[in-house]
Amino acid sequence: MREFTKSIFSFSWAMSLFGVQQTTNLLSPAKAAKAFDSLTEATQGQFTDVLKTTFNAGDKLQRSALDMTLGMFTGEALNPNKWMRMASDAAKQSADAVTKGVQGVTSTVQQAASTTASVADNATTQAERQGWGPMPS
Amino acid sequence: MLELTKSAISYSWAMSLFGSQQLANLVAFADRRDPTRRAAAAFYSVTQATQNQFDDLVFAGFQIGDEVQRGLVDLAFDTLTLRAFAPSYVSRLTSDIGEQSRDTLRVFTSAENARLAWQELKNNYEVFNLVKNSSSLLNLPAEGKDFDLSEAIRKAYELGGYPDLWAVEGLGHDYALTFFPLWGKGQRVRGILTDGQAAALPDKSLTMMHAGLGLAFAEKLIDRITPYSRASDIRGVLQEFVTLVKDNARNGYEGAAYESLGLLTRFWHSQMVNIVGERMGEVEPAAVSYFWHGVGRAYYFLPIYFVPGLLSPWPAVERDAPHELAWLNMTAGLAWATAIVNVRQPKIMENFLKTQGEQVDRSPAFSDGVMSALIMGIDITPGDVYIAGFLQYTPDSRDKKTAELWNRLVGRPGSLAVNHYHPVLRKHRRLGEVFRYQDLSELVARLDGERRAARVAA
Repeated sequence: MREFTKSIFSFSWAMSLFGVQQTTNLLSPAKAAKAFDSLTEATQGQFTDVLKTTFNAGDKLQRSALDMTLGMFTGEALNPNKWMRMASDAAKQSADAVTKGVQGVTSTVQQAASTTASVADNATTQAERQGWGPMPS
Repeated sequence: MLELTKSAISYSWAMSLFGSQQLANLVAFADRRDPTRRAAAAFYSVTQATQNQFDDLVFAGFQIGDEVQRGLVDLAFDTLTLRAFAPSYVSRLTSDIGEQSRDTLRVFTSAENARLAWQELKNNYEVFNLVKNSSSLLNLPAEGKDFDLSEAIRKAYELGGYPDLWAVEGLGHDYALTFFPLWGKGQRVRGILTDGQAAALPDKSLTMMHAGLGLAFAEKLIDRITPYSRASDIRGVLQEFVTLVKDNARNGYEGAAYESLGLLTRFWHSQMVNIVGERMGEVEPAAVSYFWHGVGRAYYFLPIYFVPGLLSPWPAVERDAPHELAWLNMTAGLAWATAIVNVRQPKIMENFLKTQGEQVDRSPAFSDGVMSALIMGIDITPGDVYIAGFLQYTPDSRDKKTAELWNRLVGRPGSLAVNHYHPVLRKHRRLGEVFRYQDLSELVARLDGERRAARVAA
């Protein structure tokens, strides 16, 4: 628990200083963007599959939304194809996330069930070993 | 700007999910023996990745804050578990605080002490910059690109006595990285410092070239493990490091490369020091002393101890060393750095002995560290005027106690090391040996004995 507490404090302190660092990096936006990307990548490395898919879905959505917002000024936002593609992408990613989520839950349940079954099997074997005693004649 | 906005939003989104992932990790109890392990490992990895984005100043701020919070968390837990009320704990804490306050007071109450502390700070900063900016000083190409090694060595020596030592260390690091595309992918690389361009390296550059080589290997390999990695994974990485050193170092110089692992681990991955030290004992017992020597050397350059007088690394070394071998080597490593960084101003060492001489006199490791530093220094820069000046220095005779400490711990052993031990170690090509604590007189006697025995046998 001691080490865990230190880890949380280290993490929070690092995050605060990252904010300071990024403020100074704002003078060169490319460097700042690279720093954000590196940290996002490192963070993604800690995600489970379900969370990775969820992250990708949300990320794609926000990137497209930003492109569309900017597209308001260039007329790109009025292109119906773009809207269709964005909607279908979002739906696909969400479906993926749900599927992975369901798969995850199913495998956990199966694992739990198999553990329970093996416990029950063990109990049966133990009972067989002990026997029920002689049958009354 | 659009890309920056997207990256910032991605980052915020990732962080939100990271929070929920850690909550799930804590609730899931994946590891029943250590339920916080998975979450702690994730926090560690992201914190390390964040640190990698910091520039020097922010990194220093991070390290100082982190060391302080770790100390405070320890104190809080010790108080909660009532350990902090044990008489030995209280006496150690009060003596640490007392010693520290005395040291700080000493620096800020005398103009001469403040001047020396300022000079020491300038030396630290100069060394830090020389190692860090060696590529630009020597006009080397970007990381990993090939360059003319003999030309770079010539430029390093043109910087003059003192800067050359640190520039050569940086050069060794950069040269090893030109082979990174191969060894970074796990391909077996041999002869980095024995074959090719390195075959023509002058002997005088070899110690610090090897220190730089070890630094490059350690820097790239240690990132692959965390304190929460499996023991087998940690052993695997250390084995890779040891194999790389053995395959690429010259005979008798391996120690200089092993030592850099300790330096790098303590500086960048402090939580891993004890774990790496322990596992190194299983992988390559001969490298353990060098590792702890490097850990000691790192204390001198840690941001929290960077400003002389504010906090002293000496009590920290005594407190943090997990066993006697580590303590002796850490003390020698710290003495090594103190002596070589301040070799141009022997007055700094005299002043140090005045206040902390009694403390360092408790172990032979301090003198050993000073001797090793001078041997390494004179080997890198033959006929170095600063080392000659350091050895000829006469401390203020009015302070008999300090003068006696100087002669016994620094002056006499230093002269012996430079004039007698160095020629023997150079002749036998065993200069890597000075990167750990050991009885140098015994080593030299043994080497001389072997030579005599060989002569008799012939």
